[in-house]
Amino acid sequence: MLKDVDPPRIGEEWAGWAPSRDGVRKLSIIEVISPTSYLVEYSVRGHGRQQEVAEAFYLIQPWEPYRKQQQERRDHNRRCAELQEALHQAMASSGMTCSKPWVYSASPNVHLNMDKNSADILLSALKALGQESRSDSALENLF
Amino acid sequence: MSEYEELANDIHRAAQAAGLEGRAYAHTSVDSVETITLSVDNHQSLARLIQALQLAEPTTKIKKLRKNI
Repeated sequence: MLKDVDPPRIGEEWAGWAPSRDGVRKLSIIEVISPTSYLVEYSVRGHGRQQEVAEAFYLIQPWEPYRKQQQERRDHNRRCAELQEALHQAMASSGMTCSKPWVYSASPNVHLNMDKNSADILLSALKALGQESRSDSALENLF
Repeated sequence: MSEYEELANDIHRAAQAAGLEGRAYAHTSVDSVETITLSVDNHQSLARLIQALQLAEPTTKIKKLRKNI
């Protein structure tokens, strides 16, 4: 169980491991047997609802914040993969010959290693973008 | 200052001017290959980098066409 999380109460839904099953599931708290053990219920595909006694350390946190965190993590990882692919395509189409970039999902940054030829292409590209930005802001100031 | 270090400095300045957050530097790998690394700090900068390379596309294509003539 996570620190600073209130202990489970009857009727709540928690993310946790059912003792005899793999993976994290949604567990319904049926009974508080003791401060360290709980009767939980969960669904098993094709077998309906199952009940088991789970020790407190099997329970992670209430289901809804857990589900939300997992969704955010999936969205973040998907976004990183999309950016990685977009960068790879943009590199290839610009003529850069360096290896496929890696977009780190833990912290949203990227390292791009390149040879001189690719670095020259990148420099031209950045200069063109900088030029375009300055033109845009000059136009914005004009109007 | 080596040619690679100068190029890395130029890239660093151009990246900053184009609104990217990060840094560029030259280094030598364990197998003695000189390399330039660009490191960007966030998704906004990464999006700007992609935009820069997409803008570069026509120029490079023209260069390739010229080479073929």
